[in-house]
Amino acid sequence: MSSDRRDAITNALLQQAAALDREDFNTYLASFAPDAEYRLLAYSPELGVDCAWLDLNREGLERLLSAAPRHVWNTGRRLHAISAPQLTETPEGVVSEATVVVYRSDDSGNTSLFAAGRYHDVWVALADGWRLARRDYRLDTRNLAPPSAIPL
Amino acid sequence: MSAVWGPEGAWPWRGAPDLPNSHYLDNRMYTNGPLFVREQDRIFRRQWKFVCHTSELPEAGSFRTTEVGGVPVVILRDDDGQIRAYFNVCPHRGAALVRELSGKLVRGQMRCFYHQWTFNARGDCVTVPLAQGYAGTVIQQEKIQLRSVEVDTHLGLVFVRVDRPEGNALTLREFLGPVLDDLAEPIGELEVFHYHRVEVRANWKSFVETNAEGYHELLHLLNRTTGLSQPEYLKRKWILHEHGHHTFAPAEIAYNRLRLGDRDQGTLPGMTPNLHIVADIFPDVMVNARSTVVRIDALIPVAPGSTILECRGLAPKGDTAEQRQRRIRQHNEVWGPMGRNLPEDIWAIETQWRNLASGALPYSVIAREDDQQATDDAPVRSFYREWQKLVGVAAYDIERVWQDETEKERA
Repeated sequence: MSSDRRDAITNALLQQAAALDREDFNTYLASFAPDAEYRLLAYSPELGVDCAWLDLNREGLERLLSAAPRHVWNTGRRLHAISAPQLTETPEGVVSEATVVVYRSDDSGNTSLFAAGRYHDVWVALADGWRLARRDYRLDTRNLAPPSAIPL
Repeated sequence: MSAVWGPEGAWPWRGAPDLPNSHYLDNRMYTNGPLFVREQDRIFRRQWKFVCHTSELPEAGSFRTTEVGGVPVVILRDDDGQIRAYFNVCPHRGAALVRELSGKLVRGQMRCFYHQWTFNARGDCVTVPLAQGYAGTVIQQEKIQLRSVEVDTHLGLVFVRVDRPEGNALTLREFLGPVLDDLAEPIGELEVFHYHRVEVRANWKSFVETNAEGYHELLHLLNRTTGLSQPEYLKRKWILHEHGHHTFAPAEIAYNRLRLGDRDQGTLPGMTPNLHIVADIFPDVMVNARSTVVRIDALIPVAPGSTILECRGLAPKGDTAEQRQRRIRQHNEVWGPMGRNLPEDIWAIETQWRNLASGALPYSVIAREDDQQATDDAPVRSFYREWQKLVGVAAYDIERVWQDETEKERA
């Protein structure tokens, strides 16, 4: 894979996370392909299976995020820290894997680790740039406290 | 310039409100440590407590571990298919017998990892290593057993009772009465597909209250748009049962007011599209059926201001992959760990906890009366009536021994 291609996907990944952190949902949504799928997954040792905590297509994401300002969720201020992605060309698109931790800062400025896991993404090149076709965020964290419905 | 002080406020910030005793709460009953210990003993250990669903114990040797009233418990299915429960404690030195949250017993046995004492699924000790060290003492393998916990099931729900209450010990069916009758068909043949738990920094009773009154639905964008906005919904009745249980009568939810789509495909047996039924089982369980999917919430109190909320999603066993995915999405939309409502309930009661723990508000009111319709506080009062009976103190003044006024009158 060329370094230009690698840089472009890495930039798309980081810019998308930055948009989510500043709750710029329009920019965040624009980074998804029209038929994108988003899943947040966590293994349940109680059941011995993966549980989908969010499983949304782009329309579902849009519906959720457009309603966000009318909800009262204690989201705090979030910061995604993303490792250098491992990129692999596949017929489906470019598969990207990265370790992702999310810090949460409350109104008093206390910061805590909110979530830890790995992104398994598929990026596709569309006319307007690299877009996310599929994301699975596999969480190691299973106690998201306090919870919020904003995607990670 | 002189300091500004006032108004003093008409609300009784310092004294008890001028309401019937049943209509307000002494807020110390959320925060008092000794009272919490008493609740653990008299409510969570001596009453029937939901612990899991039968689908979590699918075959002989399957087990689940949990905590009931602060006691570690293992629930398992023996070789005959019988569900049994024990203290998850080795009688030798107290180490955990089973350390995983779920799984299957190896060779049908539980072996303590500390000194290898081993027990079968019937609780009998089958191995004490190097037993000659106990020769001539009371410690004889064939006389050693695990401490058993009473267990029973109804409609797939597994309940345990760690200790028998003083006096009349109700059977599970006597305890439940008709609370699950409206849900008997929908929850008859389900399996758990979703489990998550979250730590709530609030008292367990505050979460119970969110499940027992419809007035707080004003908090939720989803509920006030799809439920309370319908005049008919406000007439929805709470049905109060014996022993502190309630049912929120069936009602239709207008999901499309939030563009959420009708729940009209794959409705559960006995349910119609968009139908919603809730059953609250004392002390801590809410069974919530929304046409296509069922949710069970249960609580594990940890401390006066710390509660583990356990959330299960249930669906029919025979689902196709497509049906299951639809149900998962519908489940998550409202109740998932990233659902729309759960974060709102938790934030509300966490702020409430902080303020009540500070002593800023000595009493709270549960005084709404509206013919037992949606926003009536009658279910909360019914919960506290049972709570008072069990813990023996008055919810309106925790320094008083509770006396049932109606029973006194009857006498």
